Amino acid sequence: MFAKVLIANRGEIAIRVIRACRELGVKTVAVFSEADRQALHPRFADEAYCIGPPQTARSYLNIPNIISAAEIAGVDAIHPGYGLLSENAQFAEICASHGFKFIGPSPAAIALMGDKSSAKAHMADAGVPVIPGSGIVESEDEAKRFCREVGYPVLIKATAGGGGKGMRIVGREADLVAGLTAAAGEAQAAFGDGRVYIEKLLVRPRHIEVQVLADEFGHVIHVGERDCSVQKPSHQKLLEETPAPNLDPAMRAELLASAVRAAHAVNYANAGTLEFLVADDGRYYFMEMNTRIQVEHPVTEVVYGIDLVKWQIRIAAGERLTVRQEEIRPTGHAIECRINAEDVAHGFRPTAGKLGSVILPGGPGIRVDTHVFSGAEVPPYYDSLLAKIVASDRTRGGAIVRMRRALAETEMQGVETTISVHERVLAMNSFLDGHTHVTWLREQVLQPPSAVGAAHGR
Amino acid sequence: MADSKTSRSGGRQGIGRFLREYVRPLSEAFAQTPLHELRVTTEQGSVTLVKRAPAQLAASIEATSSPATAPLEATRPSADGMRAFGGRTASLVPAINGEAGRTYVTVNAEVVGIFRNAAPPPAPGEALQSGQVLGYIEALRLRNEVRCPDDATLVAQVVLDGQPVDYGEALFVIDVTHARAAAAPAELPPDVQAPPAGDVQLAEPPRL
Repeated sequence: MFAKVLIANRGEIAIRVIRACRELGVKTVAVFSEADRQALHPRFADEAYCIGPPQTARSYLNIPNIISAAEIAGVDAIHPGYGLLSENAQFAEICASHGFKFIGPSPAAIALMGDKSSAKAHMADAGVPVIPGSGIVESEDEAKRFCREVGYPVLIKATAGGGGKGMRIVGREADLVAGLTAAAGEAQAAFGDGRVYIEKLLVRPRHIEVQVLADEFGHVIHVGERDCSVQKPSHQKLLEETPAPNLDPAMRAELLASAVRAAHAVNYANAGTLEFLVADDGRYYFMEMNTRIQVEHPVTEVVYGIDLVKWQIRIAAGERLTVRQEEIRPTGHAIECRINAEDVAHGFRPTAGKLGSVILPGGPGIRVDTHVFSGAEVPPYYDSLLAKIVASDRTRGGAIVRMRRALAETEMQGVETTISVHERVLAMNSFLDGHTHVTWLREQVLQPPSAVGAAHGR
Repeated sequence: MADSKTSRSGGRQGIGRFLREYVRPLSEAFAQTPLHELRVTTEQGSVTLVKRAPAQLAASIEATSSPATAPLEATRPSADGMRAFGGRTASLVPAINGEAGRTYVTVNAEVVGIFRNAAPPPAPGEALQSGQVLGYIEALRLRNEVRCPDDATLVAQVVLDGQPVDYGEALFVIDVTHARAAAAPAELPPDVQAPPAGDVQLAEPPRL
């Protein structure tokens, strides 16, 4: 096991990693920006180094200062948390070249999965379904053939794409040629490259992801799935749960097996997550793989009784995965609500400032991962996550009741938070029935359903 | 409570955002220091914060050099005052008995690393030239030179050879009274500094 680990992150995830290290008997080194002088992570760690001014580019993304702090402190390994440098293959490589073990997968695996097209190609080779795509459209007949094969609606995308330019949704064959012409013209004007391709468009899919753990000896297990369909209009997750409600057992087994196959295919080591879109016809498609610990990992930990962050550290230290797949069984149900410093009424705009009174929930079945406290600063430079409240019980219904109770106990004075939107979600019948999808929050909660109906002429 | 005068150049960001993201955190940090007056100049503009309690004027201290740290000016020099700028490890800065009317500046670490003495290290009282190498910070097997930001007189070196230093940690205290007086006599006192054209002037002090 490592003697000392540097945590190249801030906020609740830095604290989460410090907690895992402490329980493993590993010393910790925090790094912090000038805006985080009073933050908890430098206080909880055994040592702490200021690595730069508030802006992330000059502190938490400042690789030379982070590596230099690691050298001064004499650490064995660096845990990147999530976000920031966690999926930066170059950083993982630099860590290795300075003799620090990067707590995560190999730089090659990070790079492979970081590139969308190479990731998709590898997954397809491994027999994992990917969203069908046409390749560059050469002729109208070829485009029609492809669309008939995958079924409408389809999405036309520019190969040079970005920012929604050169994109068109086409719902029926009669509109295909017009759509191709418009998209190609727009792409030509915007990027000087009129080439387009076609992808099957999934309407109101669910986001279901699979947690995998792999050691450095080729042993891979899954740790169940998470349903993360409740998303902001920006597709950022807001509420996650496990097990996924209303998921056909055969389908679930197939998803989990696919994820394990995918991890094997890229010689994956450490913790990772394969994200899938699940269509209402029961088909599922690989979306992307996150080569790091996820924000929503606690729901898995609670339901499966496994410490994912400790396993990340153990695996990186060269230990074998001693948990067998047969031992991985869900017990009950867990839901996580992300409490963000965001103004829901204004498009989830981040808010910052000094917190007043902070009261966190507790009691049976409640876990809170947070870095905030009464009087803490919420700097405007970083992501807006304040706390993750996880409620668990033997049943989904019980977990929902607990979460409502926990949210009612929670107080975060001084900033706008997402607590109110969670309360609305937990009161919706379609949520209680487990019928959500990636645009459900926008369509059913943020916009009154009557307005949606009117807009669609229904 | 504190009075505040704010001026800022460029009008692209709202004054509300400037106050929320910049002035508010600054004023809260200021409130926790023993300082009575604080002037900060950045690319976005300058802010002067003044506590109403009467100050015992002795001399002023600025913390400069770190490119991210805006020049800070205080009207009460003390070890406490320096600690407010230098952070965690800057409490190593000894009490400097400043003379009234003199301007002291700390030269801070711009990178994380191990401090190494210059050969020979500058001696207290020694005249320093702008750009002169005062010491080094070793980081990633590179020696980063710590240069004197201005013509000055060395007051003290406040780190030891071989000591690990954080970003922004104070390394030297220098006396820049003559250089500052020669270079920018019009800048003092801050109260009479005219804002550049196009600035936004607040009609009344914001609630901080």
